[in-house]
Amino acid sequence: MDELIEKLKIEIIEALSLEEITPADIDADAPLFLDGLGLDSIDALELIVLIEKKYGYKIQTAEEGKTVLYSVKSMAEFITNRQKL
Amino acid sequence: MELYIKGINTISPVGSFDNIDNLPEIKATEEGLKYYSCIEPLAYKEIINPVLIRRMSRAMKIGIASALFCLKDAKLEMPDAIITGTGLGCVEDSDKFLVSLIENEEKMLNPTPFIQSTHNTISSQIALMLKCHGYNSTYAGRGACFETGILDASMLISDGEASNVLVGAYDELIQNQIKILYRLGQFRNNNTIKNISGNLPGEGAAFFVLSDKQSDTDYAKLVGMDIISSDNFLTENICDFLNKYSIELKNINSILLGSENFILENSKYSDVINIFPYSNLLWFKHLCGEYMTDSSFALWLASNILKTQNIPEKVIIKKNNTSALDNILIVNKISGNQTALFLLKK
Repeated sequence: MDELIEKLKIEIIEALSLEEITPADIDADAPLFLDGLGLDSIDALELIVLIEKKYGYKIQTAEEGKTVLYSVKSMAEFITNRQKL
Repeated sequence: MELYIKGINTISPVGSFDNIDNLPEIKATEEGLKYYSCIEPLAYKEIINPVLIRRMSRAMKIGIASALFCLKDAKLEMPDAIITGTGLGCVEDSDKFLVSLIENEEKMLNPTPFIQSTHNTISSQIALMLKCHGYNSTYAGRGACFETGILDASMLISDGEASNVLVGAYDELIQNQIKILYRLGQFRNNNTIKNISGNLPGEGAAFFVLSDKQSDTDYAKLVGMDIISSDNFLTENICDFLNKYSIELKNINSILLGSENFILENSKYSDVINIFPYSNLLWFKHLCGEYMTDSSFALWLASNILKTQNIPEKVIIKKNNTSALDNILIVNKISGNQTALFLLKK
């Protein structure tokens, strides 16, 4: 899981062009939107595409999206749980 | 049309007006295709929110930065209207989006390039940044779009719907586009003379604050603008245009031509220069390259010349006139058979 979290941080930085942010700056438990990294709705769409493209898992509903995209850790948990199925 | 130019800015291959004597660097693609590209400001982050910059393509950065610098130059915080013109819009984002569409077989497309590929991205982003709720419009008519924007601004001002209008143009150049332009035969790589050419693809952004009120700090007065839609009777049309503003041919101090090089014999401007034997002949495309909204660069250059009363050596083809520098006529063939005319007075 820790390895996946670190990998996701790098992928998020690249996908969202967060030029001045390093993986170490991202708290895996902190919310990605508003308070945390200050991401917005366009970033949410980019993250949905990222998960589908890189890991092959689709976020099915808006409600699921809110839970999955809450933090880097919740994204990693979603991917890990799907991999176990 | 009497519009006072209160503020101007360009982000272009030549950079600032003070830098004109240092001609822009001619760049080349991996295949050796020559082109010009903009000298970009080093500190975008000082004027554009870093959260917004991370998503912006080069066209967005140069367009928005030029607009904001222009407002600063005019000492204007809030324009009444924002009008932009662009030949091809945000090409880099369109390119990314289309490549991704092909590579991913029309699935899992990243939203950002698609959202930002629309032509009105820049005028709307400027409005969002300024919180400007006024009239906002973008013209994307390829060659004549900047001119149409100027016409729109003049109508807004003459109808009393706006007093200060931010109007500008932008076009960016990307590698795929350079290859296509050369493949279509629009440019020829071997036509540089003494390593100077106006017949190379270029790019740039230029913005202006146009106002109905005159002041001591104005750059110039835009007296008239017209788009001549045919090469037939071009010289007659120019005479009619000047007649409309009661100016005789012999009283035009300088004409700024959209010529591809500094040799005008047998060029597409030969007929035009023949009717202006007493005017200085100037050119500008070796400073910015050729792109669909390059008239905006010419307007920026002419405005600077009138304000500073200085014609830089590098823009002079032939000096025929030593009288007071009180007007400039821009003659620029913009696309197909269309020719744009701008008449500026001090």
